[in-house]
Amino acid sequence: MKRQILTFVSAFFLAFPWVETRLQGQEVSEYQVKAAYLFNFTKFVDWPQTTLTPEKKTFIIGVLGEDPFGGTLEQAVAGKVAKGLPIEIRRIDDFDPDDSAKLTDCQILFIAYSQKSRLSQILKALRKAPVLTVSEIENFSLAGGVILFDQVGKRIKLVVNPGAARRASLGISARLLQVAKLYRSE
Amino acid sequence: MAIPFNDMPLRRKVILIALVSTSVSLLSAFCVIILNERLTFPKTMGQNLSNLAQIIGDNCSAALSFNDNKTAQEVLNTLKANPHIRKALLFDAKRGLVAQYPAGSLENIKLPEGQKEGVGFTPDGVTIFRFVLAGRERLGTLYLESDLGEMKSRLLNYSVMTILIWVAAFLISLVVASRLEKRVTQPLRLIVEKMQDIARGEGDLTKRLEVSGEDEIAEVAAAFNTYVEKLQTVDEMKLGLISVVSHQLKTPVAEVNGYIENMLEGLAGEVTPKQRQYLEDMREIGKENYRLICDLLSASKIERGVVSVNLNPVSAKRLVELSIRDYEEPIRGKGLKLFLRGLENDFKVYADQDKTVETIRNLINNAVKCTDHGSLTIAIEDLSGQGVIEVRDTGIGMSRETMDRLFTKSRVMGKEAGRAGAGLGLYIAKNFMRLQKGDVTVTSELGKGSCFRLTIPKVPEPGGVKV
Repeated sequence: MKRQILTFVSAFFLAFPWVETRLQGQEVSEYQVKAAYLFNFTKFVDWPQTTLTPEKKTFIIGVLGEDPFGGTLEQAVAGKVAKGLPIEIRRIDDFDPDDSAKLTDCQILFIAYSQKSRLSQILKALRKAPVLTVSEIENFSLAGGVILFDQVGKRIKLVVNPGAARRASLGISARLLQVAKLYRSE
Repeated sequence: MAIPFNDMPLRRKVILIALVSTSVSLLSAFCVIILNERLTFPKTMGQNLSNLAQIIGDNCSAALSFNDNKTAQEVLNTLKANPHIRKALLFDAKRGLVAQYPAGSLENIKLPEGQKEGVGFTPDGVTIFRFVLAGRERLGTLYLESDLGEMKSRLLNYSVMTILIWVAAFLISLVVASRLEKRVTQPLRLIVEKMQDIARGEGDLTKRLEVSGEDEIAEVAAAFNTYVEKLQTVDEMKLGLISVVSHQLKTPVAEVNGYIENMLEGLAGEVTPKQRQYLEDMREIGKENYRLICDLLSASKIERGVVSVNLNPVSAKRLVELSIRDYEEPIRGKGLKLFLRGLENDFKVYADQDKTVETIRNLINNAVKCTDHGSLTIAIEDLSGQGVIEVRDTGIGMSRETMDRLFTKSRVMGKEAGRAGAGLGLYIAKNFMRLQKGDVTVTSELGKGSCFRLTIPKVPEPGGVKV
């Protein structure tokens, strides 16, 4: 009898739309966290001086492909500076193999899930460019991306590929490595 | 047990002064260090805690940035290396607790809103709140709590060190002080010894202390020398006076004695029995006076060192006979028996006849005076190389104390000189015999009599044949 009541109550709650909203709210929260992380990377990663020249006006965080952040990325960086520069969010809808400069202009490049099929091409185009590539595509580390957002249950773990970082001439702080999992190729 | 400082020997004083001064300086150094420590320690400790918080906070920055509580906890766990840290709490930017030390299930606390950075002191510890920053952005807040164990252990260290230094200083100052003490007291002791030597009856006023250096001890020695010099002058004046007075008295007294003798012989007409008795008493007193004057003269000569001896081989028997001549009558008159022993075995000695006879007469004179019953024995004895002449009586004898001072100058020129006779005579006897390379010694027992013994160098006899 008791169990029946419990089942009923559960079903009742599941049927209501505000429960849906709450779940959705969690999802939004996940990208809020990821947006914050993208910004936080600026504190623990060093770009080569050739990239952050005095002529440079903005620190560019690019989002390639279908943007999952919505407005949260703008919220995360609002009023903040990275390496002393104001932050510019640049959205790149699609990968254009002939215009890789679009990508190499960025200091941080988030590669959205929609680009999964073209991942190796993108990374090949970025090869050696001092761009911190970040993605949530599962085989990102294997493909040669620098930081992977790895979803473990509710938690987002960072997976860093030190080889890729070195190839991109990026210095990753030991403190960041302390909280990340390291991906070892070969 | 505690001896007043003034009564301590110099040695103890020097050591005590050294110890007290080292102890006082060490104690004051210790107090200054402790005071300084007390004043600066909270600041130092706050600074140290602040530095630690900075390091721990920096190490937590990535963990806070990427919500990695596990890593944050690991960082806090490294505080184990510092045993004085009692507690640590790490709050995130939303003031929620993300890690704590010692590790355990997280307490349900939140950082109070508007909590500022800063060091705080409680009676038994130090606390600090410190923001964890990345650039200008505040990632969270770290709270640390340390006990005062560090201060306590430092105080303990200082105490132990001070005690060790004190013990070392104690030993060193003991060694140094005893060395120093020797350098100070050694010359003093030497001076005291010499002073005592001079102060005693045998002291020679011509002796002087050696003055070396220019310190107070040298001053004492110099002052003492000046004093002795003055004493010597006074002494010489006294001896001169005695000599002059004696000389001036000697002739008149001898003259008076001569007149008395003449009167007794009837040269000045008939003498009544009453007059004869008075004259005889006067003759006795006159003789005594004359002897005293002669003794004074001899003594002053000895003192001034102007006595010379004329040594010749003399028969011991003859010496005794010459000495006894004037005394046979007084001895018999007092009802004493006189024994002469060993005269049959005569021998010759090297002696100044006059002085030796005067000495023996002195001894006989004393013996007669001091003996009311019994006998007087005069003996000569031939010991190998030495002639011995003994004057023994059965008189009042003397105590050991008297014997010790018998031949000393104090009896001659000191308070006891007033008693005349015996004292002067023995002093002269001693000196006369010594001048002749002989000696005079005494053995005596209170109430049983005395025995004076002269020793004189013998004239060697070829083949040991006795004359």
